[in-house]
Amino acid sequence: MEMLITPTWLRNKIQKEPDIDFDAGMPVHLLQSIDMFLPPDVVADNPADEQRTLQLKHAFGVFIRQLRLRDSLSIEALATTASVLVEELEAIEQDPHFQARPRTVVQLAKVFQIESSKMMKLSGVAHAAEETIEEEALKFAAKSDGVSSLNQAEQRLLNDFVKLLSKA
Amino acid sequence: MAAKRTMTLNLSDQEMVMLEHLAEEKGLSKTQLVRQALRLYQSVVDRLERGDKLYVEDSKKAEKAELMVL
Amino acid sequence: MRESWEFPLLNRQTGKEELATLYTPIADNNVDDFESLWQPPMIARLATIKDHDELQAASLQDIYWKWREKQQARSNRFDWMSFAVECGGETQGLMFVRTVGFARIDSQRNLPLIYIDLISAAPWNRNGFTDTPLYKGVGPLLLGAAISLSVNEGLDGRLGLHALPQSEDWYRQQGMTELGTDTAHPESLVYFEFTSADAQAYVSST
Repeated sequence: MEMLITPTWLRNKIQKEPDIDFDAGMPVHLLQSIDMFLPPDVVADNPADEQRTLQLKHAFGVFIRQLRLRDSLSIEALATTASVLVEELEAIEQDPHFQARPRTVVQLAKVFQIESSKMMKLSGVAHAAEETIEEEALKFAAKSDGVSSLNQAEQRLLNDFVKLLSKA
Repeated sequence: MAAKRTMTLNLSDQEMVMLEHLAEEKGLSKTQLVRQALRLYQSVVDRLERGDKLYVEDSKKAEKAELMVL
Repeated sequence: MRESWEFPLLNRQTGKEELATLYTPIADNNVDDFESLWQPPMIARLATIKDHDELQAASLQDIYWKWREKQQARSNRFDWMSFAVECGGETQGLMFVRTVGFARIDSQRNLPLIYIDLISAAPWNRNGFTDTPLYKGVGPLLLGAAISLSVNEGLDGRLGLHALPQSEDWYRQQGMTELGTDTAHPESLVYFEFTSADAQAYVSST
């Protein structure tokens, strides 16, 4: 194919080039789906909200840990399967101040076969419009925390929670 | 650029007239017009084969008519 | 079969020219670059965004776009062509064009044109994404390539595209004609067209 522009032409164009982006065309509906990945609209101005956010993130960490134990995966193994960083998984499970990244949440959702929109809400990446999921997550975490492997009762608790999520 | 190959097309008089007319209308040589037509054909066929449907929308936006190839 | 041409881009940080290569079509390494070099910083950036306005301004529209799928679906076809700009061993810009399309401006109504389906710079080259964009010149280079393709195909330089909101001014400044918001477009983007005269003037200008 004959190229009609030359290096000199481009040099001249670059000199006059404004500092504006030229991206065009649209990966359709993407802006709408990205919106889902925005953090909750509620800015934790008051301590009660902040406390609740911490509790929810802690609950998410417990949830991920329980799923991992259920499937007999080490953190490294899960990181490899989900194609995410070990450090991030550790932070998710152990640090309630840590905010999981959207991609990580989506990858974990795939590995554990949970609807990604539900995972988004649990992880604090997306805002849950209804309180039910959040309440149930907190209840679940309260009963599951502090265990290093799952006995039958704990398995049942986890399964019940997963079932609840798929119905919500 | 890939090497070009030559082909002889056997068209009826009417088809030839249409080809020439379309080419002139679109400011293309006959070869360029045929190339454009091939692309359009590939595009349509590809979508139909994927199970997509192609619609034509009336300019007054009243109704869509379905375009199907049997 | 891959074709390539060399062009100079400006490295804004060093103030010096660097040699870039324009390729057609896009190859696996370009898609690899999208996944390993473009996406991670966009995803990291997304995690810091607090509201919708910030999201619009940050230029992350293609963050989860399925480049690999699209490239595979559109390769070895005549109704699609693609271009990539590489510099410093990394993909700096990408473009997909449809080779079948019809003009809407009255003066060239229904004449065939090349439609730019997607044209994008690497995030580190975007003004919206970073305060210190790196390479200058990727846009004109790709636009010039699209016009060249249009002329080569006998379409006289005619081009059409839908600009993202943050880019509308850029297309106006390149001399494209604006046809307003296209309500038939899923995101109601503004549609721009190059008349063959304006396109040819664009590539001849000094």
